Amino acid sequence: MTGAGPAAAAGHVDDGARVPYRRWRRWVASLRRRALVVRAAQDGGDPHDRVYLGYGVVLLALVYGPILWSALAQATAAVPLPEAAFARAVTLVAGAALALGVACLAALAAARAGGPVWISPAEATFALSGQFRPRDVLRRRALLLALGAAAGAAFVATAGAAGLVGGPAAVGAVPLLAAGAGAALLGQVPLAVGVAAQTPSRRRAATGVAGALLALGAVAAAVGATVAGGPVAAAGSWPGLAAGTNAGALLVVAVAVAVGATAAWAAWLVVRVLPDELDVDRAAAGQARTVTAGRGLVGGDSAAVADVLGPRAVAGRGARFVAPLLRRAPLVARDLLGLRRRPATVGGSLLAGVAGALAVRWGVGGDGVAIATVAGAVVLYAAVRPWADGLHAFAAQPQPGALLPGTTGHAVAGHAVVPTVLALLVAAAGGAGAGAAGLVAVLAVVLVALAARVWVAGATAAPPGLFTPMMTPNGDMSMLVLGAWYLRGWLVVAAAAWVLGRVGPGPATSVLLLGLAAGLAAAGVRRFARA
Amino acid sequence: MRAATRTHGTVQVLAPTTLSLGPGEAAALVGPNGSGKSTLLRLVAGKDEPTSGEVHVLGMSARRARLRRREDVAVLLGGLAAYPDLTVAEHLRLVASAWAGRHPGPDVETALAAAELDRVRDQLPGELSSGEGQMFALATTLYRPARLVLLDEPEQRLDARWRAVARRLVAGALDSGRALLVATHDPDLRADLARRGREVELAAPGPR
Repeated sequence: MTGAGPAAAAGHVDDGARVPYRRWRRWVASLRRRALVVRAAQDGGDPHDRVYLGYGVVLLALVYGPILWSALAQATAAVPLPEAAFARAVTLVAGAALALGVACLAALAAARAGGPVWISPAEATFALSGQFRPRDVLRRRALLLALGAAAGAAFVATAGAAGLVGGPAAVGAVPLLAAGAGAALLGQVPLAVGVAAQTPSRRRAATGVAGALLALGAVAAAVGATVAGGPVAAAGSWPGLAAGTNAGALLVVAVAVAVGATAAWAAWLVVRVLPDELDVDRAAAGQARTVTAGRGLVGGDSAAVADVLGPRAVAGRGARFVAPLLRRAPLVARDLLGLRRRPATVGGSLLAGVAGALAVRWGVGGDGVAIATVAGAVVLYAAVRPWADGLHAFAAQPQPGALLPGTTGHAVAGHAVVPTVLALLVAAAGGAGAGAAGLVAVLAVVLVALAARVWVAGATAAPPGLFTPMMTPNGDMSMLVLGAWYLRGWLVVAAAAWVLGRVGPGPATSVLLLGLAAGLAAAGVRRFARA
Repeated sequence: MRAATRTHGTVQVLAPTTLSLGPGEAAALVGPNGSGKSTLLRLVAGKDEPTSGEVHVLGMSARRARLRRREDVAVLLGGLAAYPDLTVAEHLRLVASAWAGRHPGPDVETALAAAELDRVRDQLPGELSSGEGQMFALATTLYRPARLVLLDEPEQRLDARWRAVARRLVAGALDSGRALLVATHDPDLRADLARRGREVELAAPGPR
């Protein structure tokens, strides 16, 4: 340390003595380039491998991007819109707020996994341990993230807008551009929430923003459902947007200004303010965990993702076993205690479960659409995960159930009691008043989601056979099959819900789904026993 | 276990081994790294099958015993079957309750004191130090009732004081009439077990 000024007293390097980051970075980049060329020469590889990789990624995006865009547009086209202009506007606000809220939740999860601003452990040591200003080091990636968030949001929003007005042919370029530009601006909000969650002082505020957006979406959706009342407009009959006119021009301008100001503020936070406040070590640790989990997944270990979000906070340390229950049903008492130690997660999952059950109920109703059934079932499958925490902990043990008496089947049954009770409660809450057929349909989907959890928990390592190369005219599909194996629970639940949505509720569908649930649960127990 | 071997590919990881263990007897499996101690324990636990020879546990094949006689065999191989959201004391309470009527004791507090785990009784498994975690695993494995106990290097990551505690716990398990098969590198534990039963020296692995 030199000098005795305030900066020196505070332990800072004098700004005049700093090596400019860009010059240092250029020097490191040239070193790495040279090392890459030398390594490639030694290994007989091609030093331009990264260029080819970039070329491949761009090519894939150009091939599959339009397909994905059309699929999104088609999915949105199935969403019915209310006829009245006010109800339509409220529905639009609800959809935007919910989409932003969900994106914010994803950004909060990313913050626990080392993103959205990624920092490698080496960077944390060699570039971010005090010698350079973090905002100088991270400026380029913050700008890249802002551009990426804008592009991603515009991609989704234009597809959604095209679907809502009846397809790309039915919508003019101006509305599409307006939707894209608006989404590109609003896309900065989840990004700012994610980066704020990477700073110790703004983590709580970031969570608050996500919660506020979800609450706004829920309230707007409820208001929309109340005012819609009337007949449902067919997709494509949205004259306001199609014609590019709006009676409340002033309101539109005000909204546009508000959106622009919010986006500018969010982008300024991401690029200029938040990088200096980042918890660099936490971000680097998160990235290291994510890389490890990725390697585990490539190696066939689905349990690898369990640690991606870092150590779980356990609340409710004061909670104790319910003594009478512990004597009669120890595993039920254990699972109940586990739930009481994660009240926020369990409460959120119950709300999500009821929302999923309501979506399934609406989907199988007279005016519902199959996609609502599928979306509801997928939400239910996600919601079941915290309820089945005891079962997953049991599955992760080196010798599942080694401490407890009884067979593996008994242990699995013991761990299934609490999630089953919660599933029945959620099914009752979501299906109440839907009539016998609707209630049974909701119940069947909930049970399929629960049984799929048992089935998936029974095996965390991919069967070696999945790694056998599977040559097709489109190349080796073995990685695709491996991906499907990881997503098998989601796929089975979505497929069952799709069948229910297409065929409709009834005795045959219910028997089919309940049979599927029984089969999945039995297969899961057999796998546990073999472990 | 009669002339049991285990081979992975072209590498024999367990040379032909014959061993029998009666009720209340102890055996210390000793030998250098790679001599097949853990492999032998896995064969007895029924988690692997011998390439040749046979392994019988409690009157049936080890593979079958793993499914049919789970209640009679306690195993500590590669970590404890713990729940991440239960504290140390709650794990012992869960074990005591689940085996109610068949659990010979002692009570949870006494067991914690015997393992010198009182200080961390309200900590979660993920909050324990490496040594505390190992002692917790050993204490919990020995706390559940069993006729046969299989332990793979119970002394690992323990300091001298806790190694002595581990030896006391193992001796207590023998006193209660259990059969113990223990792979170990700890000379004191090895001597203790040899005094109460026998020592099985496994052959060093061949050139690699």
